Amino acid sequence: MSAAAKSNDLYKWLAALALAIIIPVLFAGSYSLGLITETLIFAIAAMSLDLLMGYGGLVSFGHAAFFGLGAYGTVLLAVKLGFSVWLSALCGISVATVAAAAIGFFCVRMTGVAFLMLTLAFAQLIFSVGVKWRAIGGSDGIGGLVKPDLFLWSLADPLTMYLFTLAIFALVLVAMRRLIASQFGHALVGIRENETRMRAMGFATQQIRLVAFILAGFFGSIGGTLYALYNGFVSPDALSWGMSGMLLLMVVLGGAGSLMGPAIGAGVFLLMKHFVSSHTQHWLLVVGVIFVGCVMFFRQGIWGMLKRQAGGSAP
Amino acid sequence: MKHLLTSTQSRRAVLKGAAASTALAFEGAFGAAIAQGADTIKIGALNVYTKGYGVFGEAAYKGMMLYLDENNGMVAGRKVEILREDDEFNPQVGLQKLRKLVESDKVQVIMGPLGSHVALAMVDYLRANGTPWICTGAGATVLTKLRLPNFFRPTVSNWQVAYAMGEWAAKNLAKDAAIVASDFVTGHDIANSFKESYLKGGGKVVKEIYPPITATDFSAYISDLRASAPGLTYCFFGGTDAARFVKQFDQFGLKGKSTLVGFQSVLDTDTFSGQGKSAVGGISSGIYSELLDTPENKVFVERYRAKYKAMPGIFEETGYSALRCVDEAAKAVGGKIEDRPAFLAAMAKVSFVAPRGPISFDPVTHQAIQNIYIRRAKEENNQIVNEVIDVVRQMGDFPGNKA
Amino acid sequence: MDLILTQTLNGLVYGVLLFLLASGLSLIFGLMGVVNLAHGSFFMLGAFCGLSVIKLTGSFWWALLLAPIAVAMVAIVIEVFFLRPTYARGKLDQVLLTFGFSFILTDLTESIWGREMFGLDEPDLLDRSVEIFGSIFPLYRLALLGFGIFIAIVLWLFIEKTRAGAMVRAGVDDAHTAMGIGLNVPLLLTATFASGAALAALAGVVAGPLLNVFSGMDVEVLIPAFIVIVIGGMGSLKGSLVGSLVIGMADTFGKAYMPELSMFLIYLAMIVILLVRPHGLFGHQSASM
Repeated sequence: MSAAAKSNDLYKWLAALALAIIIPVLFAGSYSLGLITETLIFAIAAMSLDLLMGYGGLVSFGHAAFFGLGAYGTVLLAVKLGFSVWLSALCGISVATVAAAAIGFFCVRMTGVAFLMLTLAFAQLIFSVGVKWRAIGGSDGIGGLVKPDLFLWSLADPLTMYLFTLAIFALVLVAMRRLIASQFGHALVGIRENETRMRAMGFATQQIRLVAFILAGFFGSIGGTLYALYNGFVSPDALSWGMSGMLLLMVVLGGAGSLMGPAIGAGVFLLMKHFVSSHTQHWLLVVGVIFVGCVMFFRQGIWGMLKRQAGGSAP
Repeated sequence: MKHLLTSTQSRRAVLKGAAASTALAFEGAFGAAIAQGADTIKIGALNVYTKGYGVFGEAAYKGMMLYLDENNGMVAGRKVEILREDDEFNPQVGLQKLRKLVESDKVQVIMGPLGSHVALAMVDYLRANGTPWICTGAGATVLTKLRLPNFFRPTVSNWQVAYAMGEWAAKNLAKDAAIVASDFVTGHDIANSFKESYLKGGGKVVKEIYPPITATDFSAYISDLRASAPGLTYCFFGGTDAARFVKQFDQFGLKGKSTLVGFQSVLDTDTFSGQGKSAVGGISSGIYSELLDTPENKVFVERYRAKYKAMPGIFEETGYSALRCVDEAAKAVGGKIEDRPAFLAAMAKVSFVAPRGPISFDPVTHQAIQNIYIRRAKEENNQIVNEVIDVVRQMGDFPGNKA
Repeated sequence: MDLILTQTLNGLVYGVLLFLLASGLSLIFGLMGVVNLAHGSFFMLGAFCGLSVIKLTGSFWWALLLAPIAVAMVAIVIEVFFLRPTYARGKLDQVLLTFGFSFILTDLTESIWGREMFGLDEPDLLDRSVEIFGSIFPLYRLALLGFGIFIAIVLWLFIEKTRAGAMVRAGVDDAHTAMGIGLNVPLLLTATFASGAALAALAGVVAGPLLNVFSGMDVEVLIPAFIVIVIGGMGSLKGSLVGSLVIGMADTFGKAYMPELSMFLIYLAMIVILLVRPHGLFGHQSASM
């Protein structure tokens, strides 16, 4: 990429960031702001899954485990043990990352359907603890998280929560883009395309996949932690395979292997959930048909389509 | 005939309202504020309308619609628009939808939900936000201990219903009991309330079983129950589980040996369809019975049957009477439901004779003070119904909630 | 003693239900490589179709025959028009497709039959309880046990003794070879998918009297059925049978004696098997994932 193109790119991102801050602040009511906040949270989670799915070629049906662990860690430590919320959030993310390392150690030995089943089994294992263990709220979950202050502002204010989430989202996006552009990212994609060849070239393919798994868990738990901060409570639904499936839907909807795609997928999915489900009982049908359509005809998802449109006009 | 006419008219009005609110919701998303007709009262019916519990949310909604039909779609002289949102029995979804109703649809009143876990997740938000909240299902005893000034519960408190049954069962049925309840907060809440009162009445609890809410089949627990052969089996299950348990209780031959006693929702109109004859003879305590022999109830049942061609149950009556509470309070403030302090003060003073009997609110906890009926399921004209065999009059809230 | 006997019978009955589901799921995976996340939906659809047939004809037995046929038709449409074009793309697209169809089928079921729960009565002939060694047991459950054994034998005879069965075996072993020796593979795949769906529908009908019929019953059985085929081995009939009985028993006794831990232990077992024997206890090496 030429220097000119690079700075051109930079301007585009700056413009997007400025819009992301200005538009909601100026125009959105608090509800829309909340909706955008939620979208950003799920965008982070979906992007983290995309690291595995899109770049690693590993379809996980248990990504909710890390999302949920981040959320549970945050709420439990703050509410039950009285830790400060920020410390709890850091602990939640750490716990989830360590869990990702432990679970990933086993899962990355497999690929394809076996990987899918194994991630599902591990997530269900954690889910079963969340549901059965009454000390952590059992199937009712646990609430009462007091929203913390960020310097002078309280996260209880929707605008602060939004700006905070936006900042984290931007950080995660930049970090993941760098990761994917790095040698590690190229190796990951190389393994997806042809593992034997990569191994022959001297890459420790399993280790690389493990690192990807841990990073996906880490970023996923950031999403979960934000979700806990946003809602003030957590329930086992955050750990359930329904949640894993929802993240999967978002990735496929937006287009796997593009980061921005899953983020857009998250937005489209949540918008549909909020507006379609309020006005028709057939919202599942709408989701199902769009999803099947994406898999059949638009494997590149919404983002892929947008890019193809744009690609037609510009070189 | 005239009645039918108003029913379709008001339904059309609601549909039109729903279409308008679609536009509003989309506008709202992009921040454009549109002046709303100040004369319409918007009520958010946040409840579970899908999955195993959907039938209960639907029931409360039907009751509300019947009340609107009778009043030309108005509350205190103002048109009413009911906005339905499905919480999917999931607290996270419930909170999402609550935000939508309050912030985007700008409803003046929230009615619902069924799930206590959903309700508990809503507490912090509604405490801060202050929107009047009329609970039409969630029975968690603790909800009225939280002292939300904007919370009213014109329906069951788990403690009320289960506690009323305990002493009565010990005196009238048997002195040894097994307790079977779903393993979640509501299950334990109900089991503990029953147990406390049953022990007080001189009974003895010989076994307690708490199956997970994911149990597909209760045969394992029922076999276990039979081994301890208690004089009565007190049970609580939600949704589809209630129907399965009662049916399997019969199939495994326990029905003749141990009297089946249950919380109101275990043996009610909405579960009888799945239970069939297995339910006959089952005894339950509840805030309502479709066979109550009062003029108010007779009119209600007759109108309900005319509209829906079915018998009303507890949640249908709750939806109906809960909306009447809103109506009474709104009338008391001259329709100015937006004046929250006045409206809430008027809510606390609401008192009338509902189909279920006289109801009023505890001034401190805002729990409905109401009759608890002891009911026995019987078959009548190929239908299972609950006949009233005894009454515990004007039960108040759990004393511990007032401290 | 009384208790252990009834629990054992209960475990076997649950095992039979799982077997009807898992055998189809397992064959579909073994032969087609499709992880069918819509299998629970076929189960649910079967139960609802059965409900309608009973309403129309008044006979449980007609439901037993017609509901699987109806569901098989749906499965054929899904296989021919949606799955078939994606076989060349690898296994994951089909997982996603069937996941999408599980939403669509749930919505269609709710639109057609509603969101209430329905009771599905056992045939009058079996609507009674019998005494076995002093404990009472519903006759319907015993009959279900016999029915499960019957289906298992029929399936076994079909796969081991018929020409079509030989094709299935050849297909599970190696689809390419099978194609080489002139088997009509597309037809074989469609037939397998349809039969698997029909078996799931059959399970739905016979499960009706035990579980009732409602939207959401698909989710309750899907994960247990997957655990069964992971443990038993994908593509193996024997594996599905053994796996079903093991999970049926483990679940029943687990619930009664260690309710807090049973779910956890079953998932743990699933993980261990996946790691130690990815092709399951009885699975064919080549049919591993």
